[in-house]
Amino acid sequence: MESFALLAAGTHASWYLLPLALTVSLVYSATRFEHRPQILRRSVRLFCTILVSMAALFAVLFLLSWNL
Amino acid sequence: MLDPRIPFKNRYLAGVLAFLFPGVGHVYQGRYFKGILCGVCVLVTFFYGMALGDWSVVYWKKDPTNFLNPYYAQVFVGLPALPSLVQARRYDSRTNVDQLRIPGPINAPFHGSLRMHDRTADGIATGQIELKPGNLPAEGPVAQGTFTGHVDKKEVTLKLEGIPKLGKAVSADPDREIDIDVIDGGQPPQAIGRLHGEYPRQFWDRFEAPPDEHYYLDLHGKLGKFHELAMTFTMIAGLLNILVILDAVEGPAYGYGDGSDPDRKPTGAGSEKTAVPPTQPPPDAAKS
Repeated sequence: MESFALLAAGTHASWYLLPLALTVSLVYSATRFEHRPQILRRSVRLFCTILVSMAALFAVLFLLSWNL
Repeated sequence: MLDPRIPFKNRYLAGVLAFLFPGVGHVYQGRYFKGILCGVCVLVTFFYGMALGDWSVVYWKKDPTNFLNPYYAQVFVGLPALPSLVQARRYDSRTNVDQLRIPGPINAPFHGSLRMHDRTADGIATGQIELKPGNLPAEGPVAQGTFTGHVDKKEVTLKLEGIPKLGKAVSADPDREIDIDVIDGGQPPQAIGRLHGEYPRQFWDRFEAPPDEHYYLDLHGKLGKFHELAMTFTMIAGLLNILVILDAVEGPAYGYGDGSDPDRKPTGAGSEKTAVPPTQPPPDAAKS
């Protein structure tokens, strides 16, 4: 298991957003709706919203830190 | 108001089941899709976080100065996080201190150092350590056995005997400290050196046990920001399961989306989307 932790440590932390956003989207949507296609459709929408929001936040912070 | 189209059965029992094992509350209610989806998502997130943190990020340690203890979120994963409470009791127990005798026979891989009394430098020792409890008239209970392996890349077999010093039994550290004399072959045997190192701790003595201060600092040094990331994964898993428990007890916030979900509203004649009557579930809702 130590090798797993070391392997994980070699990956950029930002990539961990993807599985985290995916599970949050799926579980959140599953607890909002009962209808299966609706859960999946809303999950995709929430997943994209999270990614776009984080990308926008990243862009703002990147610009604010320009030439610092 | 509960949606009559959802088979809640005994919803409080479903809530307890959802707490104990994520997704099982929904499976009990016959809501298989949601049960499997939530269970898989919560458990994968939780165990992935644990693996990322070297299986040492979920534990209960009372800290009056820290009101934001991560375990307050992790505990909502239920059974997979509850052993922490037992392990915390074992860790804080009066008997969980350094030991001067071995609890039983030990046959385990070893790594550490060897200091011979006639040399100033330590040698790096790796190999197999075999010890069993014994009794000497002069010293009382001792440990006796052998070390077989390499010291500074030279193959050796050492006789071990004496009162050992073992680290505490329960801790998150995967290795347990041991310290024992190396003896010669004379009669009576004389201590000619000291073997100091670690051997693997038993799984149930480290799983979800609180870490010692030095191991906690080592882990931080080794994992860096991934320690926090691992903690975050396990905490988010617990927080997500709160939503799952509420869904098992109260039903989904928007139910079938009648009137509140733009996806389900009619969009005019000829549209593929159709409105769902308030009292009728969608044709495929019973499956989900």
